Amino acid sequence: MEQLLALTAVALAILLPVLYDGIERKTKAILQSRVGPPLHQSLLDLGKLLSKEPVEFPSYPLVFYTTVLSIILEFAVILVLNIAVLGINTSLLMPVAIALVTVAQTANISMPLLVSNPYSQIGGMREVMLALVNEFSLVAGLALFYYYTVSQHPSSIMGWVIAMPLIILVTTATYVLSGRVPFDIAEAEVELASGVLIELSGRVLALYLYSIYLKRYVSSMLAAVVVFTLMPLNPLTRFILVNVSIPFIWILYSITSVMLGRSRIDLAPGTLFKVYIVLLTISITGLLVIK
Amino acid sequence: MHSQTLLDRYIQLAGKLGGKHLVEGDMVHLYIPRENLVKAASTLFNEYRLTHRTCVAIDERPLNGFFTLTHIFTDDSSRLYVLVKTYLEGDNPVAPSIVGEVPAADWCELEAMDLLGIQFEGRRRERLVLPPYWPDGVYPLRKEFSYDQRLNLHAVSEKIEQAVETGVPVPIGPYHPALHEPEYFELYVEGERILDVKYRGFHVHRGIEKLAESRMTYQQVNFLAERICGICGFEHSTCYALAVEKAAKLDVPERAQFIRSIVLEVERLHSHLLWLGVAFHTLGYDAGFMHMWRIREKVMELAEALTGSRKTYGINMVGGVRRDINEEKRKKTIEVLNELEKEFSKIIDVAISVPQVKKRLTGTGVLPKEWAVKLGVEGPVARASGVDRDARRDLPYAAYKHASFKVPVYTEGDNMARALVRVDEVKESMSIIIQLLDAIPRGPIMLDKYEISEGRIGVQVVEAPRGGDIHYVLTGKGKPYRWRVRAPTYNNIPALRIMLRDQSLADAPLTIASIDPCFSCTDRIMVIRENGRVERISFNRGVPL
Amino acid sequence: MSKLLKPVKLVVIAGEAGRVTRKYPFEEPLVTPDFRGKIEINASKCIGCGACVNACPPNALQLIEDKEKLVLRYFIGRCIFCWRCIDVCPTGAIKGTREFELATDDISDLYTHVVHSRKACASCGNTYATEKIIRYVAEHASLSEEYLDKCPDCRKRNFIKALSRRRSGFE
Repeated sequence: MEQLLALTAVALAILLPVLYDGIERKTKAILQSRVGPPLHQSLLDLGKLLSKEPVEFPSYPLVFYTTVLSIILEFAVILVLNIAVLGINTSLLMPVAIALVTVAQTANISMPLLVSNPYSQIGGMREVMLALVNEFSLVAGLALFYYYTVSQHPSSIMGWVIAMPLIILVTTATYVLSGRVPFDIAEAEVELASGVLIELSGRVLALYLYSIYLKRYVSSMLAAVVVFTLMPLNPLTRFILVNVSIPFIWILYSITSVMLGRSRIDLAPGTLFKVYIVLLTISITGLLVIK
Repeated sequence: MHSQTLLDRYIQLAGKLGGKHLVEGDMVHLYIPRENLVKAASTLFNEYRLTHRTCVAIDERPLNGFFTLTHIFTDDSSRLYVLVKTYLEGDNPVAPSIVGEVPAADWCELEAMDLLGIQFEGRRRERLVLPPYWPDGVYPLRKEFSYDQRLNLHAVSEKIEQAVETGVPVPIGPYHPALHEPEYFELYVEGERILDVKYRGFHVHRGIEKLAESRMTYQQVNFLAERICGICGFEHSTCYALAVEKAAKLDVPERAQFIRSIVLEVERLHSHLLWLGVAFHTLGYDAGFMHMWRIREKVMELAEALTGSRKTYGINMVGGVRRDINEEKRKKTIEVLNELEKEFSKIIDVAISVPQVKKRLTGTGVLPKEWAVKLGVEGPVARASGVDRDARRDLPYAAYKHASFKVPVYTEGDNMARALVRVDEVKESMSIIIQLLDAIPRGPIMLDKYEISEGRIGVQVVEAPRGGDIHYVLTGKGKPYRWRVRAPTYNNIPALRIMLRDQSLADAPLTIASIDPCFSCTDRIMVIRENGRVERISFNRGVPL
Repeated sequence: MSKLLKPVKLVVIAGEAGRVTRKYPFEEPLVTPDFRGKIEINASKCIGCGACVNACPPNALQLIEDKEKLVLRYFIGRCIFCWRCIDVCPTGAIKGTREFELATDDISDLYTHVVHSRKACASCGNTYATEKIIRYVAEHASLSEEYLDKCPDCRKRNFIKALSRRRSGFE
């Protein structure tokens, strides 16, 4: 039964990220006083791109398969997270999910470096720098959180207070992971002519954009999982709440991104590093105190 | 008025260097023999601290057998134009270069070299305006070259020599998806730090000056001038009309001058709002871009109500304007401006407080004051580096003497200062328009009869949204004999080399955008037509044109 | 704290402004009454004088002549909608409209021709001005029929003949 539910969630996750991206564009348009594209626009865009012949470049096959690999890995993350939330083998599957997130992100950031275009290389390097700060902190935060919930079984107000810095850490880290303004410095800068996006076209561009939507889905899902794991719920309710709250977290992230400008590669990692170190120190101190 | 002592020093200078002088209105013509040109330029620029605006080379062989070279300076503190003219002999004229003393004269000398074939001694030679495969010995602005002459050219790939040994070249342009106009910057970077930058421009040179001399009449050139630029067109046509009126000594009705000033300020509003939107977009803050252009739409509608067209207003003529502002339009303008002011303050308040916008604008793209003076930069770029210069106050034209306004000057010289100068200017413009609308006199808007005699010179500087724009007109029969335009961005681009050095690569587009480049104003190239089609010149194929 | 939350005021600004996108072409375009669109030439008022051709900056208006007729051609493709032609037309034959939706896939749609017939000279038979221009001049200036009926060359010849006759008594 649970397996069926998990598979349904994964099946829905094939098209939902594209729809949520359409909703994000509409929200952005409303905040900018425009009408904006219809909700299914992202789907139409992907469809049109898939029908076009790509302009190939030297490392094209490698890039194509890396993108496909990252999509498969993201789906694996979604599947494992859903099964874990449903309560099956949670203690085994949560670390697996965290590890899969890291592997998926590695595939994501290696892709721009495989394209032999100077803009793409510069963009890829910037993304690597940002990922170095962000991924480690995300994994550390998730691991600490998992340890906290599994070993301490928190359920009181005190539990929430201790977990608060971790929640802030995971929320910020997943926001950075989702590659939105102010942290889209790899692919959206003007002088880079959009970094990796300049070289891709046709089918491979459609797959790349789809992998970005999936990445955003995973990042919203991680935030939802962390928030709802703290609450004492039965697994089925938690499963439904997690999946239903993903679009709301998505919209919240998109509203935040509209109000900010793009950061710079020498400013962003430094600021993030300081913030994460502070949050991690506070949470580790809190956990030790509890013990 | 100009004090006698100041005029005297120019007259004495001419006498000392063996030349002659002529004072006409606010123009002081000094005729200096070739050998003393550098000394004259150096005295005027370094000792008297005049502003070098541009130089004009003219083929006057049909008139008097000589080529001439005129350097135009302005004395901002006493409202004078000082024109230093030399006569050059022969069909391959040689002139002394003043680049050593006046670095601001670099580009205009290169342009005279390219288009008229005047050799300058003692300076480096490179192609600026014409493509590198243009044949030697063919000079488009000479009188024997007809404007519709076709050449058989083969385009070849151009290589820019690397300026420094190390550094990875990152090209921006010429056909960049994020740029609005063609320009080519080659940034040499090491990691994220820019070491040097090379610029190759003039992709949109259209041969406007040649066209005006060949087949247009005085009134038709107004419309041609308006199309030099899509954003600041009206000030070009105003500057041309004022230059011709000064040359022909026409007495334009006051009401027309007021209308010109009001529309000039409306244009400044729209241009600065556009720039602010583009700057926010470059920083990734798209919401600021959308809202800024939303309120700019109100200015465009206002312009359409006042002049008949959202851009390329087409109301300027030599001798006045073609459209009047009646009572209803006057009231509507004041209403629109009041609304605009409130909305603008709200949006700027929010936009400047976004942390990324503040952090990325401050401290980047710094232009120190001595370089600003040496290179003769114009407009908000100069005012943000501490140079207090504004042609509306220093060399008043049209109706600006009837309005009182502040000129914002900041000293930091970074991108934030340039942005703040423009924000302040928007507020000042709105106040100027309301003052002028209150004080506008009654009367005609166009001269009934006028006559333009031949052989007269008119020079005028107009403060465009990007800086001081200068037009020089030498009148001929029914059409100008020579028309020279020097747009403000022309002087601002060489300053980019200083601003981009040692900056982070991520700030490059923002710095380039912060001088508010208007490449259509800067270039003015010959489009070679083949069978009526326009052939696109690509740099990497040998294609017969 | 309020300084940090200033960017959130964007929501207030967007809320007050609403949605400003104009759903053109499914809605009327925003064109003020003063907008300059294309021109329309009233063929019955036009006299074929060519003043508009002289004034037109991009040469959108051209005169094409042959023995029997004079054609005024207006090509919208070159027009810059400056309305200088309207300013200088002596009979007010050109009218300005607010039309700007002129795109078409057939370029001959963009040409308008006004054809005038030329008058043949009474003495030598060459054609010179258009009939309409002669009628216009006849209405506005006091010149005799004989004078207007002839082409400029014949008029010159007649004038010199008349001069020499007066001087010497006979031809």
